[in-house]
Amino acid sequence: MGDHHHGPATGIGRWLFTTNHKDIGTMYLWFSFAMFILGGTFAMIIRAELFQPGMQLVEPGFFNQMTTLHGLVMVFGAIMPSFVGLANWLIPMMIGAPDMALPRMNNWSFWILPPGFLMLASTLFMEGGAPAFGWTFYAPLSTTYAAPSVTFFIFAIHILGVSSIMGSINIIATVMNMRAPGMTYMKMPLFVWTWLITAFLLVAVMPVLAGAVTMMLMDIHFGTSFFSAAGGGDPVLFQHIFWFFGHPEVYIIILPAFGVVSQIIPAFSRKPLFGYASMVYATASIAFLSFIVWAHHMYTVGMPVAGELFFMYATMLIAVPTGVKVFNWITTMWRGALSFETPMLFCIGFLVLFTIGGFTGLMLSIAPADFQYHDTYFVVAHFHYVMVAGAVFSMTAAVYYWLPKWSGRMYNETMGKVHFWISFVGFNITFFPQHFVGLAGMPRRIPDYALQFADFNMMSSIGAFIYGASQILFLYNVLATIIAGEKVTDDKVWDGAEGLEWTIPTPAPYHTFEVPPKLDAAHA
Amino acid sequence: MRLSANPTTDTVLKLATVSVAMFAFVFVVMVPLYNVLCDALGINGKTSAQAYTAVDAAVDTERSITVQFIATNNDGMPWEFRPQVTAMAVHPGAANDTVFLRLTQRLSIWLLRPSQVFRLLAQQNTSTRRNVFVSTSSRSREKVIR
Repeated sequence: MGDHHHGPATGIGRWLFTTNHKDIGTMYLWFSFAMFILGGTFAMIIRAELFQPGMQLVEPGFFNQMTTLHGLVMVFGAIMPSFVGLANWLIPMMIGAPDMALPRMNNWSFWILPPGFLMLASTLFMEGGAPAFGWTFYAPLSTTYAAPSVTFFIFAIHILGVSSIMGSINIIATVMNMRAPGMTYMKMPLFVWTWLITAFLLVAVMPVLAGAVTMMLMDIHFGTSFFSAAGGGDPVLFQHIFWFFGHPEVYIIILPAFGVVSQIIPAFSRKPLFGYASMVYATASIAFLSFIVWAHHMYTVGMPVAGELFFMYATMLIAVPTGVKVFNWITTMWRGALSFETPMLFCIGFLVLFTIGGFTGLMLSIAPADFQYHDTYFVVAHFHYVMVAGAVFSMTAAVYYWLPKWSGRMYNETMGKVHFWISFVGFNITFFPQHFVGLAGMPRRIPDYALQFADFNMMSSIGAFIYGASQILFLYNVLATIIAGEKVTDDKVWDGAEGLEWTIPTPAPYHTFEVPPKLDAAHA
Repeated sequence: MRLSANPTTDTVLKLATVSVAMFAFVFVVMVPLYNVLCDALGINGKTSAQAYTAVDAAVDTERSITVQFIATNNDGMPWEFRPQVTAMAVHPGAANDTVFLRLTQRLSIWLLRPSQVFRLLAQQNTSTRRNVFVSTSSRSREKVIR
């Protein structure tokens, strides 16, 4: 190990003790995919139960555990770590840095995640079952009426919060201090920009989540009454604190997705991104607005009319910077030399479906209308359009786009396109009917439902099984690529791709940019 | 302000301070601020320091309000459903009764085609329990014509 230019260590030690941003990125990506499959399994159980009205397969209590764990695992285990993995792989390569600023902390922030989720998953086997109070864990369901396993849940949330905070501090420190000479802020690729802003959001709100679960812990074990009306507290306070974290959290999930799409659409349009500066400012505006709109999640909880109006107008305002982004992507494609490889297909799917999710978000932002939509399947349809078709589609696009650079092998394009179309069709069959049953009054988080919702629920379930199965194809395609894909040797895998990560050899060597790159005219 | 000569350490120290401060913010700012706002706005049970005293509801004979009643009945339904009176003048605070009429199935059956009779008989167990009634007062429950 004395030689400075050594390659990866051998055996399990390579992964346990690695400080290499590419290794850590890979581990994050595989971990998040494993969590995606786990959370997806929970979703399949939910949809199987809802396939027909009446109690079919599972007990109502277990159904509640499934909805809760599905949400928690997907948000904290699948989507967030997947984008952290992407950031680890790409940010140093995009800004011309040799590694992350804090490589050892990087190792630690990954390696505390698997035990955290192991603990969360282990609650399924505990007496009283896993958390069953929904991923939003509203008090007093999560305090007074929770199963004893809630304490393990709180510890798990603390662990993954610490992991997220360490990860984001690392990203900010890297972006602020390790850019190659000449790489000014306004020359950074948009993925780096969106992650920089996301990391600031994480540093600001993950401690708030930690505060919320700490209060729960104290209420449960140490006799405080933060959320207990009997002791002078207030359960509604929990909702305010949770959503003060929760709303920035949804932008933490979607902003890196915006960054990915802003990298991929120009590459397959063979044009520079339209409106780069406005993209940066729009991202910053969305981040700012995310702090002043939290109570639109709780219009029905009892607020002064002035409060409802403030949160309604502030929420509607978010449509402006988001619209700037959507129009910029469309304008980037306008009169471009378009080609439709798998990453581009997923990005266009993202664009169409995320916009639908954005519009249903606008519908939900209208306070008087929200009284009708609140806690119905309409909300479920809305947030799956932005979380799955938004974050997961863009993450899938990112894997197809950068996998040849990472592995030096090209994925099977036909299989990729088949994966896209099955995903696209399956996703829409799953979630589009949920708009209808939601508007007709079907509440979310119920194991049984009124007969008139039967047909749409059966459609939803069939779509979910199709979408779930398509992810097995994705896994197969990725594995087949890594093991036996066609070798790629071009530095620039995609002819339209721009950025420093396409100037290094393919596959990306273990160490890159040990000497800072000179930015040529194209990047300067 | 520089917390360290090393720029990376400086960034990390500042960000760590921010995250610790945000953790503290939840306890020392959000909780008291929430209580202050609830007091000021009189919401969430934090109306005042004094116990709530009930005020007797009184009938306001000064004001008169017209309440109108409407019922829609699907054409396919084998019975008729309508309000007995379509409008009432009432005083705020006063209890009033009104009645919605539903023509019984026995009467309606004579108006049905044979195929509908079979469907009706099949549904009878559930449909007879679904007498819909609407009233300005719950006391009118007994007065609904069955």
